[in-house]
Amino acid sequence: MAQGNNPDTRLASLGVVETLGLLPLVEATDAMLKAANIEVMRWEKIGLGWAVCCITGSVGAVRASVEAGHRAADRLTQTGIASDAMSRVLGGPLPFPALNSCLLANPAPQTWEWVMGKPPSRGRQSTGNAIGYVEVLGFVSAILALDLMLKGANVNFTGYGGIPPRYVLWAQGDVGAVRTAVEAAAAMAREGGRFVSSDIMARPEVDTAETIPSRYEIRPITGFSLALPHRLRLSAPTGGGETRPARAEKKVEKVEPAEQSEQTGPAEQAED
Amino acid sequence: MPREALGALEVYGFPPFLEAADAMLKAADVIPVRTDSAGIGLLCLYIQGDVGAVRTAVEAGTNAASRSSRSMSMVLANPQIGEVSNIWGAAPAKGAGEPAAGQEEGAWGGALTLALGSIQTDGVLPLVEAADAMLKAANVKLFNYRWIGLRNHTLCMSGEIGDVRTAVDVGMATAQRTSGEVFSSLLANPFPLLFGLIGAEPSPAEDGGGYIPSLGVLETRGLAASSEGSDAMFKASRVKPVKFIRAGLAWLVTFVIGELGAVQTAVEAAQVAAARQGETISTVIPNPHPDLLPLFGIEVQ
Repeated sequence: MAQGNNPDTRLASLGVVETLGLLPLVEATDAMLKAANIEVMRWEKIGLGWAVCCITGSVGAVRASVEAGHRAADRLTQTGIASDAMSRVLGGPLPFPALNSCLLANPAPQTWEWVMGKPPSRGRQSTGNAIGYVEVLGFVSAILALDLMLKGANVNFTGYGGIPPRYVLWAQGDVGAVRTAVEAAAAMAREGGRFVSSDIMARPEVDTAETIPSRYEIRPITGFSLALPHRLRLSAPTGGGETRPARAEKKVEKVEPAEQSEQTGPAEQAED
Repeated sequence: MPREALGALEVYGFPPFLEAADAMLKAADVIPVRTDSAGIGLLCLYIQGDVGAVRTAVEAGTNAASRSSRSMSMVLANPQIGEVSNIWGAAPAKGAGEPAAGQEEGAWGGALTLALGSIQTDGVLPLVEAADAMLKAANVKLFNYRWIGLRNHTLCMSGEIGDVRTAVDVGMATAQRTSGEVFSSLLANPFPLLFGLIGAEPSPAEDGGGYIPSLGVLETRGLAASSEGSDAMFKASRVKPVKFIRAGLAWLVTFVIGELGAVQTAVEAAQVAAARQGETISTVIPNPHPDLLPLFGIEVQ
């Protein structure tokens, strides 16, 4: 129990199931809880009909659970009701399945923090000040893209934005590292038909770098969540930004008492 | 407290959802737990009870929904999910089949014995036109204007069965002129708990918002079209903006009031200006029913 809240197991495996419509996810979550000894970290509607369930545990348990959850959700997804509703918006069939899941056996620390809804700590001291982003469709794609970026090159995850289910993930580092990371993530997202856009700024204006990631906030449209995502901050890419991190820090703190739920409380202490 | 079986039905569209929920609650001895919405027009009702009862109820709901829409359902005999997803909400309903205290009379003034109808349109404008037509055609109370995701907007109505039937027919006919997809439902004898379940509140004040000469509605896709349209409207004649609604999928709605000639001139100018920027629909309601504006949260002193 409480495995995910234990700082020593912060690199436990991570599983995510994402569905269009609520019932497939309810059924999947139930199946996941019954399949193996896992803990549910997040269960929330992320927007525009999509809902995600994030679980953690040992790699074998998470694998078994995600497979069971995917199978359970597939039955209801096959009915096509939710995708039909969405295709009315898109003016055509949904370009990707209404059900997606992933297993990260060994997630990068910053990926883990993001899923846990915490602001990222400075994972690595990447010195470069280039920034880049990749915009993808869906929470599962976003997690996979982020993990790929962080593992593929020496970049720092600095924040996210977008209007769910679209996620914009920002990376900072040397221009070469950022380019490698963004291109790898974009290529992966393209394969699944979930790519939206990407860009690299080799020498961003300080003002640009400061405003972009925090211009958007992500919040669930309605309902409940165990852990609300935080607004993340972009660490100062150049010198002379001493006051900015402090200001951003303060903002995050102000949000916490209202939005932080019990689930993330203990994990919060791990940062100290 | 032992958790009994958990059942759920997710239906596309509010009127089909109402019919399905009514059928579910009448079919077997189950307790409605809560309703939920995915945000794209899909509405969900969770029920709790004996596994056989839950299964029967879900089947009845599926059948009812299949008459006009589509649905998906599930039954979990031994649910593990309750605490995780907060499906149980604050607490299950007090007693099966018992309306919550104060709901029986008072707030509804005996409305529970009345028929319940509902209508759903693509966009706000068709719904405004339908609501005005319904109010004028029959003695019904309209309430519970909701946006349920995408461009789906819904309304409920209650009254004597004949009145509600007339209202639904008139509303459908009116809405179909401008709306792509229209759903409606009519429950002659709705399950009492249904009113509380859909979050229905007693209709707004009896004496509406006073005399309104004319109402203009401009619905555009995108802020650019909305800005162009509004600008043209206020330059064209003397009208007063009273409400601005975000209607989903980047559609924006502006309500204006004024004398009939002024509103007509303004809306014509706005239609031309806004259509250059994006999809636009507009309408003028010459003599709106006094109950119409409070329904959409518009207060005119």
